[in-house]
Amino acid sequence: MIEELDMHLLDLVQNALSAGSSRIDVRVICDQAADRLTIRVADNGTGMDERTLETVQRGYYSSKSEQSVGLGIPLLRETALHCDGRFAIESKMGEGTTVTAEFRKSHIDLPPFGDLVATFLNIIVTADARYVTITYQCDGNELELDTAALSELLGELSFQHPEVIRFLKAYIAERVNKEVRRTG
Amino acid sequence: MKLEELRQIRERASKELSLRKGNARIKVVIGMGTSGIAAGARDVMAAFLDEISVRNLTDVVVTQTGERGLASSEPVVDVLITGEPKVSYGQMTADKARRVVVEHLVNGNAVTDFVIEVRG
Repeated sequence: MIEELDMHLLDLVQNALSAGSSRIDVRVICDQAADRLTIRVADNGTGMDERTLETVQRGYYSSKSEQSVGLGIPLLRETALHCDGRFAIESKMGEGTTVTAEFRKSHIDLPPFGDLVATFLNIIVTADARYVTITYQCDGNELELDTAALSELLGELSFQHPEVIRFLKAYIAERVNKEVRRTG
Repeated sequence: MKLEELRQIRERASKELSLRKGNARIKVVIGMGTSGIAAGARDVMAAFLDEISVRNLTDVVVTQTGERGLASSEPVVDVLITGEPKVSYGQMTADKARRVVVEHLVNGNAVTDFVIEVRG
């Protein structure tokens, strides 16, 4: 099953894509002082009605269900609550969905981040014409990416030009995998 | 590294016949639904992107799709080449993805060991 936090991010982003979103905002934020880790994916897709929202959160699925989106959500909810955290989905038909999962960062069962470089690269280079933003702030590392800004720099050149992939991978790695530095 | 360096890449690339948005001969579609991700689709995607950049392939685009209802075959990858039938691969791994890049995308021969469906 999904055992790493970045896989949950990919799952939430795929949900956003399936909802036809043109705008997706991805955030991974650590608050060291409060011992919290929050991941949040917000989109402007079709949104869900209350019944679907209920189904997705509780994970009631039958083989007859046409709803094959959101299968990872019950697990994310369970993991967040187990790690002394919180879980919320806000959704409005026609407006979009925001999923927020919060964890106690020092919890012994907090899943590992996984491969954040691969995950962020994947999210950015498959954004196509969508406006996707990524904000990552954890353990002294910081990354901000925005496909509108990238498009402005690249013009008509694809995000998947080999040189662009190489550059973005190195750029993300430099900002995500920095050594933890403490001042003083 | 500064994001501005992308401008130089753009200038260099503008002098060659290179990949522009919405214009690629080969399309790789990776199933990134929940079961695909759980089965390892992240690493498969990473391997495709890595091979494309290392081998300087300028006519390939990688995209993703949701659940395919093929849970037991995940991760599933479709390869669509202009003028050829669609080839679907199942139970992919990063290593298998690298083989598909070399043998199928570069040399034009589907890797029959991993093929689960050919259509069209």
